[in-house]
Amino acid sequence: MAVIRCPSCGKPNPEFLDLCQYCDQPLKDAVAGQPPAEGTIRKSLIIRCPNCDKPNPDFLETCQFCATPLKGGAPVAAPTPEAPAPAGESAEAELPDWLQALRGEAVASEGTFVPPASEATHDWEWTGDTGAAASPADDIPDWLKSLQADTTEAAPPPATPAAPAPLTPEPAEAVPDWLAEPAAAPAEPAGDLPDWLRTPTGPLAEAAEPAEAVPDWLPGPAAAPSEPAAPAEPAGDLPDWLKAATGPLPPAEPAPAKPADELPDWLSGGATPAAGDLPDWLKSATGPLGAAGAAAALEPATAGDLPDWLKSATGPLSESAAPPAGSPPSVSSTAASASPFALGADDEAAPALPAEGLPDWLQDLAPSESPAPSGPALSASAPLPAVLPGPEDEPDFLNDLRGTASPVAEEEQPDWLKSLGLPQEAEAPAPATAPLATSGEEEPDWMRALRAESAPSVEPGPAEPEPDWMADLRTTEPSDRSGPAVSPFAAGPAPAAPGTEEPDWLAALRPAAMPESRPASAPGAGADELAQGEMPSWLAAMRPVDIQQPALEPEVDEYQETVGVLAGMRGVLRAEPSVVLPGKSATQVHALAYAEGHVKQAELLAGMLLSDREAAPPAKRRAGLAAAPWERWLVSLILLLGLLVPPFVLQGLFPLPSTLPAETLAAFQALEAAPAGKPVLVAFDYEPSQAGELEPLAEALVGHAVRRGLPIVTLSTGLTGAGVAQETLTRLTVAEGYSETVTHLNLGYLPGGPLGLLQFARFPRLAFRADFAGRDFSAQGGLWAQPVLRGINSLDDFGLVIVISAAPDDARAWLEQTQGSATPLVLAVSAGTAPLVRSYYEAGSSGRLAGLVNGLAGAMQYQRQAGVYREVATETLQLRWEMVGSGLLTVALLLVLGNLFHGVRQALVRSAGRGRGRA
Amino acid sequence: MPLDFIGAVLGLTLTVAILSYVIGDNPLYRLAVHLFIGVAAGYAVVVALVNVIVPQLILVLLSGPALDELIILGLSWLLVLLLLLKLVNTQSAPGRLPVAYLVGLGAAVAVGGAVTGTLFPQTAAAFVNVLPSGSAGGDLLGLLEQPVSALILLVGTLSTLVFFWYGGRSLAGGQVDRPLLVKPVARVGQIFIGTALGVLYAGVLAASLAYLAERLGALWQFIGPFVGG
Repeated sequence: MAVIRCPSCGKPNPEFLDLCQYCDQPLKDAVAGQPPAEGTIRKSLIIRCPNCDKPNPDFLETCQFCATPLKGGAPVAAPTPEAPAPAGESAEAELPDWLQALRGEAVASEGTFVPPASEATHDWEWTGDTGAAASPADDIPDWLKSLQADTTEAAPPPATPAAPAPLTPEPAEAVPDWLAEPAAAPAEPAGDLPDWLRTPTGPLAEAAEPAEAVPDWLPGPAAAPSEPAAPAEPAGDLPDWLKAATGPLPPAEPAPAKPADELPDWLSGGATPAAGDLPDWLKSATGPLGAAGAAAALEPATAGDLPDWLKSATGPLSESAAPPAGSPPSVSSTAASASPFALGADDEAAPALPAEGLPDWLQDLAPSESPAPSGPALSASAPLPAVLPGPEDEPDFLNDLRGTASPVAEEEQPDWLKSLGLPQEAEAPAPATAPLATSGEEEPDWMRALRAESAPSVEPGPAEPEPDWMADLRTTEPSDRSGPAVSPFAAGPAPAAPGTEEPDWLAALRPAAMPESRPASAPGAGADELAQGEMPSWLAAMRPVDIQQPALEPEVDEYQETVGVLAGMRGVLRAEPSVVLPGKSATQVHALAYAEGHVKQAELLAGMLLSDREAAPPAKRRAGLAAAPWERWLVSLILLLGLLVPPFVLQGLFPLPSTLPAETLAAFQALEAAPAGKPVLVAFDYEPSQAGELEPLAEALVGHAVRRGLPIVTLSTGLTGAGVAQETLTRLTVAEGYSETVTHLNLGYLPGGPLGLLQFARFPRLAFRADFAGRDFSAQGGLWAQPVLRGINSLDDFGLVIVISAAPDDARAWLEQTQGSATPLVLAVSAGTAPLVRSYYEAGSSGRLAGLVNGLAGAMQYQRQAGVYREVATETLQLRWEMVGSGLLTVALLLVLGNLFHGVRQALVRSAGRGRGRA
Repeated sequence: MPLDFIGAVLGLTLTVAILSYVIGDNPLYRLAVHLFIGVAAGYAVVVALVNVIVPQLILVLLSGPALDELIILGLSWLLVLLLLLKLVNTQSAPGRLPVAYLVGLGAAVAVGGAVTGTLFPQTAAAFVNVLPSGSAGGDLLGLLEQPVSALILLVGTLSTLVFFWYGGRSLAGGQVDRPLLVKPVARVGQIFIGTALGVLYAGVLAASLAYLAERLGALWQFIGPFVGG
């Protein structure tokens, strides 16, 4: 592979690039692949920036941190791996976050891959020798956090003592810590290696670790005791293509450094482990890569799939010396073809690389010809033949590497690599030139893109435009997605099927391939474990907390209530928890105590309620008149006989009253006191039907007034009263020589009730404009121009007011509405009304009722007192008086007899009831 | 045939027809009642027309009333016309105006008259002198008449008022009884009330008998000459 330094920025670029991947300047003008001096690998130096005092590779012309020209800076030797601590401290702040995170993990476990204990380990969970313990947790992606957790469990001691570096170690501050530790293993001086390249070298150093340091999950491929280093790559970290290759590696070259008992199971189990013990990736690898000729089968299949740069890398790597046995497998070896991150072991192949085909930093690797013990990490690239693309597809720098490595003799190969039995061309590890050319700070875009794509939780896609050659790789379809690699560290190409255009390791870079297949990280994991491992940790963290079992037992229908009114019932829902269910009281419930009286009352109440429920018997039909005609006829007959018989048979039985009541006397006196010149106003407020009682009163009072010669003016508040007044007035005045409109006049009907009375009392002229006959006397000056009405302007102008009424309301209305008048008022009322208006007379001086005459008896008394119509009145009134008297006596007898009869009948009914009750 | 005789015959017939109700509802009774109601209504209309409408609304208008009379006449006619609207629509809003006027004014007049003509005088009449008056004469009966009358009036009034005192006290068993002091007085008031109602009944009965006696006497006077009475 050739590296072209950018004439503008001086940074290395693959030769197939037309433009600088850093500054987009044309590269064709530059001389491709300026190898270092022939036969010498330039010692990796670090030039400290005169401005920021930060280390920079010597090939940089400007500081990678502050862009200050570095030519004036003195190169400083890289620190030795034995002193990683200060280097880590000094360079820690200069590292990117993701590298710092990885670096922190390297403190505990360098180059180890520790799968989680409980769940399947993802292939991207490469603990690596990274670690920046000081990196904050918030800045670390999830997949890196998981790395931190896992690496703390397995921290094999570094193998730096077992892997002496042929080069002078660079100062510690020039190399980041995470790279400084593994840097001790390769022959290439660690100081020349960028940080990211030192990561894969860690496992190389661990290759010399005792077998105890190898985790258990690395049993399968290590079955061959002679080459423990080849399968040292953890299954989870190995890309598929490497897994496929490492699995079937023939145990041709036993690993000398590792005793079989110290090797992990997969290393010590045997060269051909049982198929059932092998993980899938290993099984798949053993198929095509059998001991018979895996290389022959893999080489043509993968050669054409490799990019140019990888092809160029495979060349020299294939010829490089095999790493010594015993060096632990490294992810770098697996990732050699997929990612330059894993090519830290190139330092072993570097000595065989031609100087002109390598960049400066790679040329520095070349002088380390001594096979480093940790070199087998690169030998893990033994599966490379399975995935390496064909020469035509390889990048130039890989071709260059291939070309330079080809001369490497087979004997220079490590045993474990020899044991693979792969062709030497295929054994070349992936070139690390590209990544080696840049430090962590100067990471090219295409590497960033790779890293971004490999991140499990990050959307793939480079932040910056990736190189064309990388884009081309990306566009190719994966031939097999059985071994996706999420992390660039763990990204391992799956064994490519023959004839496929795209290697699996490239397909694994595709994020879409992540969930489809995930190689079992723990060998021998069952299906359950695999299924369980399918759930990512971040998803498992979101898993809801297990629902706790309810404290109470679920209610069932078989529950039977034992207390309360629902006792004995099934299917009763418990309204409260069992802890508060009422228990059976210790006190016995006694029977209800009741007396005999209570029983009787209860029976009575029950009987009443029962009787209410019974349909009520139909009411007895009231007997019609025909049913009991005798009672009504009997009463009527008795009353009729009592009215008619005495007056005709027993005449004089009821003599006329001889006494004169005071109210009647007062009425007589009031009429006697009425002024002669003033007319007497007589109100006939009764109907013709009431004339039998009130007509005698009217005849007595009006006759008295006529006898005295007083003018008489009549009116009525009732419609029929005016006619009665007219008849009575006419009958009484004709004989006495009275002349209408002169001595008497009937005004007729006064409408309005109390209002009419009030109006008449104050404005009589407005109340009447015509007499009862409808005469307005317009020819004579009007009604009020008549002689009888002259001088009448109010009620006070009348000499006396006589009200003849059968209704108490009419009498009261006269009393109330005319109370302001000084004219005395005499009431002649019915016997039934007298008790209701008597109080007005009893009021004495506070009332204005001058006298009261009531009933037929009052009329008889008044006539007798007044001496009017004596004879006629006597005969008529005497007969009527006797009839009324006899009738009252008859009624009284009927009432008494009727009450007696009713009482006797009730007594008989009761006695009969008692008799039936006794019976 | 003289009109008096015809009138007497009609009167006798209608009286017998009304008295036939003693045997129950019958067509003769109904005929007499309907005839009476019809004649009474016709008589009332004639009286109202002759005594009220014509003289109060028409004759006055034709006689050339003065201005004050004309204003009153105009208001009267306005109210009359508004009241006639109820013949078209009983719920006529304009027709309510004269009705409201009549009802309101009538109620006011009735209440005012009741207060000043009944309540105050009757209350004042209750303050009676229970001591014998000097004008009663020298006999003992005359001396006691006033005090006894006043005492009866006082006791009757107070006891009647106490009777209508509806306060009570709860007894055992859920019964309610008058207080001990009120109960005997209310009993006396009950006697007075009973007596007053008896007097009213007696008066109504006496009036009814008087009406019957008058009718029987009229019949006898008509029939008597024919039967030799």
